[in-house]
Amino acid sequence: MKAKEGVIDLLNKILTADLTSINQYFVHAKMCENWGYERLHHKVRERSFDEMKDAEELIDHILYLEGVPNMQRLGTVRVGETVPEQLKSDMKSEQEMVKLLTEATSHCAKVGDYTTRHMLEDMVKDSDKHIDWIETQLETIKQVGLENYLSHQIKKDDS
Amino acid sequence: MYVCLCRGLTESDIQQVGQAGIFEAERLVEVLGLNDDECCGRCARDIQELVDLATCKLALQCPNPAHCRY
Repeated sequence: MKAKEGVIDLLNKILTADLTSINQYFVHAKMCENWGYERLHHKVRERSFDEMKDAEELIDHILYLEGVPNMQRLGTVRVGETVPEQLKSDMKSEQEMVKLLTEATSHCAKVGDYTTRHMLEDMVKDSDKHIDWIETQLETIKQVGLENYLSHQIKKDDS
Repeated sequence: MYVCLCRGLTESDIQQVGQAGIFEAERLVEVLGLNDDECCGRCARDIQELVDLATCKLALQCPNPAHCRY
């Protein structure tokens, strides 16, 4: 199916941000594992995998619209040296992602591509959820202190 | 924060280089090896950010001397 004007470019932009996030979250997850923060490791790793699923969906959709998925381009991977730095840097990435997705959804509505719009709206929901989780972590750190927070990240979640 | 993943350089590394008197964009690129084959060059695209870090007057001491390359 032929894409409406500008849709492929926007999808590729989102794909670039997505591929960047996959790497960033994954390296953060692995650093947390290395430091012994099992709970954080699992949570952040999961988010990296979610981004990968989004990337798969984007690639499938770009191909469906007869475009070429750009796997070459990558944004800046912002790696934090400490847990709070990592959280803040992931927050920035998610905020940029939400901005991109919001612009893309309104463009899709304008050109009448409701299938793409629906797909992107689901991605915004996931990003919003992750932002909310990061906000909670930063607030908890502020209230209980970094050391207390980190000591609770050592144990693995039961669920 | 890491500013260059190819070289494993952190913000404090750049601050240290700055304190050693290297803070001009061209000198930073040269001294840190940001223009050779082993570095992808992404960090050098935001060279002003590195210059700002190197010229930072607030950081008089490296916060992580054990891991500092300079």
